[in-house]
Amino acid sequence: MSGPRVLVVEDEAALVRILRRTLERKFSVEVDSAADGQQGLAFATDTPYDLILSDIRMPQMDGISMVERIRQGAGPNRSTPVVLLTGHHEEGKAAAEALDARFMGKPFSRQALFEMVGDLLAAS
Amino acid sequence: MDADDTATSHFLRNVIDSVADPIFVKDDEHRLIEFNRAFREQVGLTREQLLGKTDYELFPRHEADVFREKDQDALRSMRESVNEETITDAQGVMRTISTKRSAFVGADGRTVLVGVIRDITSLREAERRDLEMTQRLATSAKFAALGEMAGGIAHEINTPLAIIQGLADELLDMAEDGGFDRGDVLRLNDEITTTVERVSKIISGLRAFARDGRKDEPDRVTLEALASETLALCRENLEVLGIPLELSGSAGGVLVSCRSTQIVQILLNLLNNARDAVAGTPSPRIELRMDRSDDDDEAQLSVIDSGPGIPPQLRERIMEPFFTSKPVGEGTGIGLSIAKGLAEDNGGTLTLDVEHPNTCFVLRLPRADPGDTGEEDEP
Repeated sequence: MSGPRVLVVEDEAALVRILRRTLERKFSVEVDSAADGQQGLAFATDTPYDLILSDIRMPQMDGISMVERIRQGAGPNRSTPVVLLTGHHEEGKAAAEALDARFMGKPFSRQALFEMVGDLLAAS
Repeated sequence: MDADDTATSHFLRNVIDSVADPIFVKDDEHRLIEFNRAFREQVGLTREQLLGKTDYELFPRHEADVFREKDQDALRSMRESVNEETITDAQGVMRTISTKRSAFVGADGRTVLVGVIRDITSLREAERRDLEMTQRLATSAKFAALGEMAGGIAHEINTPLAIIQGLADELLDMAEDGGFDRGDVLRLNDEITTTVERVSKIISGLRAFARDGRKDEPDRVTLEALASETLALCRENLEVLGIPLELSGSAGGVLVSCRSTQIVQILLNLLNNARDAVAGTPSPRIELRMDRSDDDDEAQLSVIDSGPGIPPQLRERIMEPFFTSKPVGEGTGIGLSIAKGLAEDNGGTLTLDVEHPNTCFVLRLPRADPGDTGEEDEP
């Protein structure tokens, strides 16, 4: 049986690479990545995930609209835990509350990310 | 003097007394020989107290010095002159006046000086208040634009910081694994350096925007540098809205002479307008275009948007202060007028290209003199 699957939605390629490497190394997860909300929504419509990590401000579709659609859609991720990763802290906190998601402000310490991701994966 | 003369003289005295502007007449030794009621009231002295007096007996020395000099000029040249001066009135209040002087030669062969004074104190005061108001509005418009960008800037900076943190963690992993691969270290170093440069660029753009560039010496910069400084500040804002911003054209590194801060302000203003014009339209697009102008003395930057365009009846008015086509509460109506003023301050122009099928604002800037600082101009 394969490990947990995580979807990373982030338009910064360097950050995607960092998150992928870090998460794979720490949690032996499989990581899919999408460069914007539209792509993320397409992944989430098809594949069940144990966790979704998403930026907010992205081209095409922002992270908030994407999470709303995932939650309200008919796909397999209606109740998948979501972490909003954003540099816009006020916006991120407010959106996390509204969407029943977790918030992690950029820049983040790896320790904090590990704790949050570890908690959410253990619960799922 | 016969009866007729007396009647005429009386009549003329009434005529000049009925004029609301103070009038004075002096002989060639600068003594007052005639004046009207308005002049007496301004100075606050009686006819007897004034007749035969010179300005030095009536006004503070620094004011009298100016009056004497201008009187002498008029007497010498016999030409009409208008001069702005200050005068302390009967209440001890300093007034700003515009004095029109002329001279003629009287029947006795001596030169006579006639002055008409117009009090322009309230006019100048109103102008000063207008100017202050314009400056205050310019500042508040700047801060409004800055506030609009602030959210975007937090994200712009925090994201690269997250990247740098991630790369630092990668180094830590390498240390823990006990194997430093030379290629990996070089790659990480390169990525960190590039990311730090990205943050520095945003910060220097922000500092340049926030400070007052009005008194800066003009820089010699390329259009490419101006465009990239501007994009660093607004790219995020447009990206969030899903509005692609295309940088097009080429000025081939030609240098223009301008205060960069102000040019960035103009471009941000135009890009903000373009954003508002295309937001919510199908397939929105904004283009920032660089061109060597047809005119060899200039180069130009154009901001073109895919919006619905500016209705012909509004084109004439869009650069007027306080004119806005945005809904109440959204536009201040001073953005474009200030942008136009800034362009002109930099020896350039800001115009709407009415020939263009889309909305296209063209900012022309004077090219820097080749070699005026001994630098190499051509790429």
